[in-house]
Amino acid sequence: MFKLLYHSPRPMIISLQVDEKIWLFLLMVFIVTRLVSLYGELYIEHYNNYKFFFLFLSFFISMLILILREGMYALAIGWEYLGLTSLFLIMFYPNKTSFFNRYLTSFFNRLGDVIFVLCIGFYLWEPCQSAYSSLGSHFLLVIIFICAFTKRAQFPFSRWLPAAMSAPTPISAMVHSSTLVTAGVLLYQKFSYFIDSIGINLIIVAVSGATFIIGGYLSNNEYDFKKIVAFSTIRQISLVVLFCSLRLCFISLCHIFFHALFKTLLFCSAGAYLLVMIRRQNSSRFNFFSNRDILVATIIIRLYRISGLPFSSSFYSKDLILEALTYSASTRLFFMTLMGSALTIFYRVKIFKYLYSIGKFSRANTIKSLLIKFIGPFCLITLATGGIVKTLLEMEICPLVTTMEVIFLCSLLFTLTLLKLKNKTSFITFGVDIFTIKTITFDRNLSQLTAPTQILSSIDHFLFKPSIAVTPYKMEVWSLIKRCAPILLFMLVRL
Amino acid sequence: MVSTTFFLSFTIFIILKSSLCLRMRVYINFFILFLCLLVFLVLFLIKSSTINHSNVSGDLVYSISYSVLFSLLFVCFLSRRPLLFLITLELCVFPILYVIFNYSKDQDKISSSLFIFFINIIGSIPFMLFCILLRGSFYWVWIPDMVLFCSRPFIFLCIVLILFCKLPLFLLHFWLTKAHVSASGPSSILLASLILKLGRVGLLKFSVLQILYSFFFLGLLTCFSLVSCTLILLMIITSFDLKYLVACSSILHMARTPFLSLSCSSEGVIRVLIIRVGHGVTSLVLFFILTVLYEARTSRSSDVVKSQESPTSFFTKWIFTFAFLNLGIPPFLNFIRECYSTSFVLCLGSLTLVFCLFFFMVFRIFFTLMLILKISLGGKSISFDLMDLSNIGSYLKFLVLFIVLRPILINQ
Repeated sequence: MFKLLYHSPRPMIISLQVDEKIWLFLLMVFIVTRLVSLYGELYIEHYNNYKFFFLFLSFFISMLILILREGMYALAIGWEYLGLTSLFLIMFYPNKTSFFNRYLTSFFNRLGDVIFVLCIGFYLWEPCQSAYSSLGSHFLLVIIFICAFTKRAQFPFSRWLPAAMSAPTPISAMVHSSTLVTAGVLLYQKFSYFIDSIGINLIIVAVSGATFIIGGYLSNNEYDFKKIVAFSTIRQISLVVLFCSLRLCFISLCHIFFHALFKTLLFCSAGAYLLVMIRRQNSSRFNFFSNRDILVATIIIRLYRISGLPFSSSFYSKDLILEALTYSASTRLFFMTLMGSALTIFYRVKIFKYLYSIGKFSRANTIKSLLIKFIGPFCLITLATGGIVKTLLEMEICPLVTTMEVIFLCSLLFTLTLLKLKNKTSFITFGVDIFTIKTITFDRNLSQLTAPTQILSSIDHFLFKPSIAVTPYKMEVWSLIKRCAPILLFMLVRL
Repeated sequence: MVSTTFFLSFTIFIILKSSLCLRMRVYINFFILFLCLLVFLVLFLIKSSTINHSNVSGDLVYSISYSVLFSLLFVCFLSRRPLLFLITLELCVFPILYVIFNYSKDQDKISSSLFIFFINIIGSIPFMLFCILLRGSFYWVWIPDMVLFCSRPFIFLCIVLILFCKLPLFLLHFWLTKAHVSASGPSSILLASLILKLGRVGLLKFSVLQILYSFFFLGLLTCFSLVSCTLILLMIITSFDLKYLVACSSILHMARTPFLSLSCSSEGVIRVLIIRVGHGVTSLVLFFILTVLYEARTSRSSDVVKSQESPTSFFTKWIFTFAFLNLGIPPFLNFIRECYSTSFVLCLGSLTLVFCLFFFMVFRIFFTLMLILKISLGGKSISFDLMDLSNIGSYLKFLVLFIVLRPILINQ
């Protein structure tokens, strides 16, 4: 009777499942944990180190279990411990503001866990062997996908992730980039082979698209810096799921990888800022462009990357798919993602505005030691990301870049650097960022684009039939918006 | 001091037992063996939890009443005859009543002892009738005839009523909460860990006799127990007494057992045993921690006993682990319990029942969080003298391992 739970006759022997996707996830987790451990040495020097490293290790180990093991019982172990450690995370600072947040996050995590328990209960229903019948397997898969919604913090369950921001910054960097939120995507990936058998593909597309837009709207209303970043993670993850449900699995995994790295650096630099600002998270108090130029430059680079402007690393994953959507016939899908990415640019601009608006504030001595340690490895890894992904998955991706875009971009960079920044270090970091993309040298091969477009059109065929008439205009709209985006940003910043 | 008297009286009783009652046939099972082991674990915790404010450390009558209780429990676990089982079952109540009546400082102790007495008395007379009928008609007859005899509804109720009082089922549970609130720490540890198992032992012993008639009750009992679970949850959230919280959680566990046991499949029986074993260990430790807190602070209100994280990390650590073990986290025994009970309810095939189960499984997190957050975090804390807790940490680690290793042992 207990043998069923262990999924194998000998319970303690570990069976590993290794795959291309799994390798990518493993690499991501290892790199991010190493970076966060480097950063955490500096961030938490005096306050309760034992608790911090317990949290850190438990996240790491539970994520490894979730990635490597197969079978429902082992998955449940990883799943449940991720939820438990997220509760620990919020209990880290015992104050009254986090009291409500504890109830909220634990409730949503428990919801996911109970759904997982229902799954196992359904699987153990021996008399009918219902999990192997057609109706039973449909029910099981629907339950699993709902379960994945909770941990990914998608639309109905999205409230807990911004509430979980009352944690120490290095751990929340780890959570938002690689461990907790990507667990939902991982579960989705593990069961994605069966997605054709049930008709919930459409629902997943709708929910993730809705999350993409609603998250953008909500992040425009927030003033807490970390909460804005949390909403951006929700949006990026939902975008990844949307791409997965369109069967663009590998490119979406690339996007997760890029997203993990830039989110880590964004959090770390923001955390250094919070140290300076005496843990005041209100973004209107942030004053950039004082003596600490490296920090400012790193944050700007990350924002630039997230918004997916040309030559950034997410440009090669996210904008590729957006471009693919222009070729396809699905107008509604295209405009949905377009609207979402426009919202991205809006709240980036908002952050930029706050960086410029307020006067100088200097307490730079505290972070001088911090910067040297954590910026070096980050730069190295951002150099290598494209190369790693390229060698690992053996794929060639090719976004289109026009000369006009390059010119606008360069003008933007020059105005940013020459007018406002006094020190030359920020200019150097910008240069490094462009240099990374130049060295990677993705091949331009238009024939690669045809495969995803065929799939997209086939999905589109039964979803949105009357919208085929609009398709010729979409390409023009897309190229126009891409050209206008830097100008828009520039104008808003100057305002 | 206390523990030595316990052990001495216990060994003396066993020797007397073996010399006088040679004819007693012994009923032994895996579950019974576990319970007999649990007695010794309970003894250790009782010894370590009666130190500070209680004046009972030198009292001989106090220790003797506990030793009598332990010996009665042993006889009750191991007995095979229904009449002996009934007598020991009823006698187990009296030592606890005595302890509550003499040593409790609660104002409601008279009413609570009356509750305990009368609710436990309800089922005993029908059970005695059953014993007499059994002895008069079918004393040496083979089992199928006995099964036919017991399949009458009246006889079935005669067997089951006393056991449901002891379990306790919802609406017969008032004696348990009253007893927990007015009893001292050690006696509530005993109540939760051992005395609540008596009803289960009875159901296991007479499980052969219930087969035929139990299927008529199955759907009704599942509905009743699941609805009662949700009601108890609402009761829990409004209360402030920490001991009342844990007592209600133990009722919550018990409410799920009867329909599983009455399913009368071998798997159902094993599932119930799993529930009992897991609950036995976790509630034991939760009550122990609460008594230690009470000894330190002389209060059980959740508004007074708070912010224990700053003086020691002991309470936060162990309450966190054992409250979540009580909830059920994967590699441990209580998680298996969750899985099997959900699979059983899914088997019944009604969506309302599944929804009911889902509701109370989700909302149990609020109870757990109340227990953890109220104790570990909060406002300012006052430092106080604690007893030496260095032994107990290692002991609790052993208990956690005990719960981990159990499924693996069963597997092999």
